[in-house]
Amino acid sequence: MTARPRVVVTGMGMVSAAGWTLDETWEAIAQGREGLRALSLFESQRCGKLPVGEVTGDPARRSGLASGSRSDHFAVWAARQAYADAGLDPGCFAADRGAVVLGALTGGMVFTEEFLTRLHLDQLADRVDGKDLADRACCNSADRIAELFGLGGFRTTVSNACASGGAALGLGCDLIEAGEADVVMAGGVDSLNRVVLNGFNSLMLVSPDGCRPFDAERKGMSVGEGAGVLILESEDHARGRGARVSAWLAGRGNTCDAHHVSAPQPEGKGLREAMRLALEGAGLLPGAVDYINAHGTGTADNDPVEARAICSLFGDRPPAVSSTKRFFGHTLAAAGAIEAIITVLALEHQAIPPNLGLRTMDPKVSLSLVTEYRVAKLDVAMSTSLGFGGNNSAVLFCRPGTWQATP
Amino acid sequence: MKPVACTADIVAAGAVRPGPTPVTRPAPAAVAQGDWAAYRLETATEQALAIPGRIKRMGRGQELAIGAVQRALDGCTAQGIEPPVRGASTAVSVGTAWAEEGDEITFLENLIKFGEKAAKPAFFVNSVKNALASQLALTFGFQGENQTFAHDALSFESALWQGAHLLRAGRARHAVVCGVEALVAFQEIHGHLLGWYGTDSSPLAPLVGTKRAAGQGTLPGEGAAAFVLAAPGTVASPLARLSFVRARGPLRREPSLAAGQELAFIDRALDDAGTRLADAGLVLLGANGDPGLDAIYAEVARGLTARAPGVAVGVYRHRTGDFATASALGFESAVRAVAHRTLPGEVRILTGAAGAIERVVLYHLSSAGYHSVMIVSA
Repeated sequence: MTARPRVVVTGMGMVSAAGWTLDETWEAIAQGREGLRALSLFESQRCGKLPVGEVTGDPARRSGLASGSRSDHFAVWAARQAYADAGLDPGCFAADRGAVVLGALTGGMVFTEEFLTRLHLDQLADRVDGKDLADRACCNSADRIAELFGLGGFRTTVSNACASGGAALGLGCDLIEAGEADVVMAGGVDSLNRVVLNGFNSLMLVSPDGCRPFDAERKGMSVGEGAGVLILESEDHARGRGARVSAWLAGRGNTCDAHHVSAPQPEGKGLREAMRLALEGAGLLPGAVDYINAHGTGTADNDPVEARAICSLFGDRPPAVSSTKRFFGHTLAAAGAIEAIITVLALEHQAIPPNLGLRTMDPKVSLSLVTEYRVAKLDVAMSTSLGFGGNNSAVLFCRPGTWQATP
Repeated sequence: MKPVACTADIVAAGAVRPGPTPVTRPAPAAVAQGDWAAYRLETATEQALAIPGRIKRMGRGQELAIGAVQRALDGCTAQGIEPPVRGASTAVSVGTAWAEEGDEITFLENLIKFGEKAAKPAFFVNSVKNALASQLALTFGFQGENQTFAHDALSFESALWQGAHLLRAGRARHAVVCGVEALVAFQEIHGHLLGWYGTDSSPLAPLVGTKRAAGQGTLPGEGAAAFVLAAPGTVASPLARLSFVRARGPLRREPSLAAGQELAFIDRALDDAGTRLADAGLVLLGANGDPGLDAIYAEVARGLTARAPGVAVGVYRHRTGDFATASALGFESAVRAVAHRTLPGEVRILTGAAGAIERVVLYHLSSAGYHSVMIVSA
């Protein structure tokens, strides 16, 4: 039997309320600078004063796209960074061996909103144009990336709610392991819009004063936006072109609770299984994990469930844990990708990001939460995501040269 | 590294199909006058999808998906095959370009018309695209990997690839793969404004339609098809086998489609699949009656018959209408064709003659330039 190829990360790019680049993001994390701020993107009677992870600045200028949704601009900008970070050029791979897998939920929802507003409210039905909706689909961002970088191979958009980004990374690994692609641009993207903000607010899940993951007095999540893109390759392909390896993507697990359409299974069994599968895939035991970047939304339901899942798998010696959501909010389909990148950056910087916003630990949460930026020896780190529909995702990264796993 | 063959046994299949002919409804007065035609579920089909004792409101897409999966599971029982079990060994892989966009639009329209206080949580939860896949997990207790692919005309093919891959990788014992799309008024408005859809209510006649002159367009449709997959060789008497699936997107927006490129795409796919066109008992095309696309499909059909004289070439979308994941219904037709070695009634043969069908090659091309090849074998 042929050993499955090891998947490595050779490039990364991201944008969020914490910054437009990897360096800006890590600087914000190291300085403990939160990224939540008042919403300015659109007016909202009920949500206007809620702190959100809104990206400031002109995304179109960054992406270089002449048209497209806010999500498209974020995704392309993140992809541009990742492509450059990986040192890729068109000669590095055949077009049909380049793939793109992006997690996305809302795409160009704003175009739908504008269209419906003209149709219903402004009584301007004669001025609606189908072309105004050309960029509304959530798959548009992946298409734009494929067009820009000549990725003619496998292409898809994963829409697994807030676990989309992690699932997209898993599918990227699948493509490499199956020999379907040599280079995969995998990640996630989402942007703020009225539907998402009002939707979560209608579920009474949004905090009026910003998310405080794992805090005893947490009041909910903060919605954010952004994109994260990672370049995945087989180790052989990366070595063959002399690429720098940022990390090994050593394992991943995706599960479904089949418990409730929007709430997680109370004991966190599905997430526990996703983390176990990630470890099993890497051939590692729980004790090997040095750090977990938790989903940690700050909602009443999520945090204790996640804590139970971690404790049940890692026992009485859980690894260091932090949620980085107060730096940039919950970026939905992008969360799994952005936080995977933060996890890899933690390995690169040998430092643990702080769980910003934590004042008093929830007594129901018995985790080793890291509250201050901490330098630490990190070889293995994990990122987790949970989503509506009971979707759970875990991705496991190892620092280059440290992974001794079963083939 | 050469791609590993993406194959799976197709244990069972089920579909929820629209009525065989388009039906008309008044167009929304705000944007058009007269009637619009579409391939919709018949009333009896809709009633059959109703779940007794259900208290939660579901979106139409969820009902379609559950209906198709239930029919596939019933198919397992009818064949005496052990159906997929509840638990982590059964994965769900759904392809849907628009999922419950109807509920998403309702949520948004409430905001626009009545203000943010009118935001209804149920519509928001359903607006999340994996509402269909997670509802399948909830309804049937499938706790394996649960993926939703929402990439226009690549959606179903992505789900199919992923389902087969999970089996090959040993990450599931069964994979329930579903392609589904519900007809949504908003999408009809969009399609009509762009001139995609015709207003003639007569059935589509892909590749032979002379009534739909340039500009007349195709007609929208809806439906769902579901398949229970198992790893190759693990089931005693599968209906058929998925031998190959490949789907790709264009490298530029509004690509100029050319039959030559499409034939090269098909040739390479067949080559990589280790299949000869002459061995296909049927080539099933996704032609949808759109004049521009039909012209490409017609040229492709001519190219295929030149390569393999006598090969039977057929179409099916005159019975489904056009939607992003209609290829799932074509795939279901192909599975039945192979399972029963006969031509399903909904397939219209354009050239050649279908004998005892042991292999079907499906080829699809969308106006956006997404294209795919799938192969179903005995």
